[in-house]
Amino acid sequence: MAAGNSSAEFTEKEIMDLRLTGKRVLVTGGASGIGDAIVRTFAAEGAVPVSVDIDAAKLERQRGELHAVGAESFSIVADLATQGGIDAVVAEGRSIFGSAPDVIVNNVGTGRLRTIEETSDEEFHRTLELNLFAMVRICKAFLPAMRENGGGSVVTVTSDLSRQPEDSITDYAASKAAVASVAKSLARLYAPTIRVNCVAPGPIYTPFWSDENYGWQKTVEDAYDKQGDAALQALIDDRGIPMARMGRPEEVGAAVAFLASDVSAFTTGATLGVDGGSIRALF
Amino acid sequence: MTNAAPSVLVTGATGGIGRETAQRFVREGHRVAIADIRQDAVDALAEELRTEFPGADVLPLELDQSSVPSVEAAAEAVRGWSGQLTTLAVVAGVLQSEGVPVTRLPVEEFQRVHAVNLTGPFILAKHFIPLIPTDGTGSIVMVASYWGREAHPLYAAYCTSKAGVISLVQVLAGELAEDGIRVNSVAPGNTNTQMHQKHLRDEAAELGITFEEMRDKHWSTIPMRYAGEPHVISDAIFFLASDQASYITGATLDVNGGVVMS
Repeated sequence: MAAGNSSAEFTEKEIMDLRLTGKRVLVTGGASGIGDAIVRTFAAEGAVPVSVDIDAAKLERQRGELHAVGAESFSIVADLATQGGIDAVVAEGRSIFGSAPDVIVNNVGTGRLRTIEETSDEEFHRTLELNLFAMVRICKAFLPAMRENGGGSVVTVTSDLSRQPEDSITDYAASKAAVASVAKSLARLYAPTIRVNCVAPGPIYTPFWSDENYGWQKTVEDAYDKQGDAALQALIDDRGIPMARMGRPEEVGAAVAFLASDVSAFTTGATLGVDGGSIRALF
Repeated sequence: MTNAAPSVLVTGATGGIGRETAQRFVREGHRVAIADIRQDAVDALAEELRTEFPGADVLPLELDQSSVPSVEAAAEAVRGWSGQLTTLAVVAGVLQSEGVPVTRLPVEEFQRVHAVNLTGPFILAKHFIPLIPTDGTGSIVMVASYWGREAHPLYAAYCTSKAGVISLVQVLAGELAEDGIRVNSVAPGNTNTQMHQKHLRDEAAELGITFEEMRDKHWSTIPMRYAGEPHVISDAIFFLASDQASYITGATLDVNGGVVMS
């Protein structure tokens, strides 16, 4: 199969009628990459996304584009790696959805292609602050109120690396494994009122890869001594992804929307892989 | 309905989950082959579907998925009917007749359960894969069970057959990815079918309590506090078969109200 990984054309998926109309959906890290696709998927389903990100300019552009097509949406600028940032989301969210949104999508995360030898304790801690503690703090801030309100759904974006680590990006994989564990604990704590599930993407073509300043593509190009799509395809082949391509952000968005909706009303504590078949272990 | 409409085969189509699955695909405009062990039952379901959805293209098939000749005949019938098969939905399964330790579980019973629950999906895949399109629209969805995710003493035949389905799905996903065919399964928890209600009635009779008492006692052990209606399983099957799941393969989606969090 041809690479085509980096073309990343945004093909809108058909809407599935997930009965999400009017639902207020908080999406962390919503301004770019997978988060952006999640926000747009919910908007297409008729929900009202509340996109939270540290990048004010990207949020502004996203909101403008959504409003131009008649979709209602909100944005909140916040540094989700800090308790202060979470407090800001709670404060600003009050005027948008009251005490809690109908759906929370914990998506924000960061990761660098580096081995544990190249990762300082401080860097490891910073990864945990954003990838783990943002999710923990958001859930602590909103789930008691969500239960009071009668229910809701939480979807957390983890990674196939949480189940099947590689030899690098160790701090990222560990943070995602921790998040997956917290999600199951919360699924037990808040059942039967709130459903809590995870989506575990495989490699998805986003600014994580393409960004010219910090994107992984450069590292991959150096590692395989190849350029562009050829380098990414070498990585995909190396990892043995059966579908032999990277995933697209909207493919993750579709799974998140499905698990957020009442169409999956009997699913809680589950993880759905969106990974082209990368998981080799049975469970 | 045109000949270009996607086609699906649903095995176990007259059971609680199968019936809901067949209806879901018909409602979404698919041509649906409905297969089950009794011809009169599939004929009756076909009539129901044609009445409820006028113009629906429904093919009733008598099928024992544990039998090679029966599956071969069904594959021929489907080839003649639609020429290809967009989605193979393997829903049929049997329960172990009673819970007994391995030392008392007859080999014949172990083999009977495996023949339908694991050999059946294997035979179906073997004979229907050649009919599945390789343009990225084709997929296989199998019904596993949360008992395939966790061990239940006294049910060696059933548990291992369903764990086998989860493994078969991963093997097939790896084999068929280069043909653009996705393979996934749904692992139901307690589903409020006639099979489940009969189980509750039997247990209630054994314990000398009412059906309602037995149901409440059983459902209180489920984190979501109820048994899912059959449509929760068919909704998941339909999602995994759809273009919405285009990067999902080798996955088993738990739809179990939280009884197992794998």
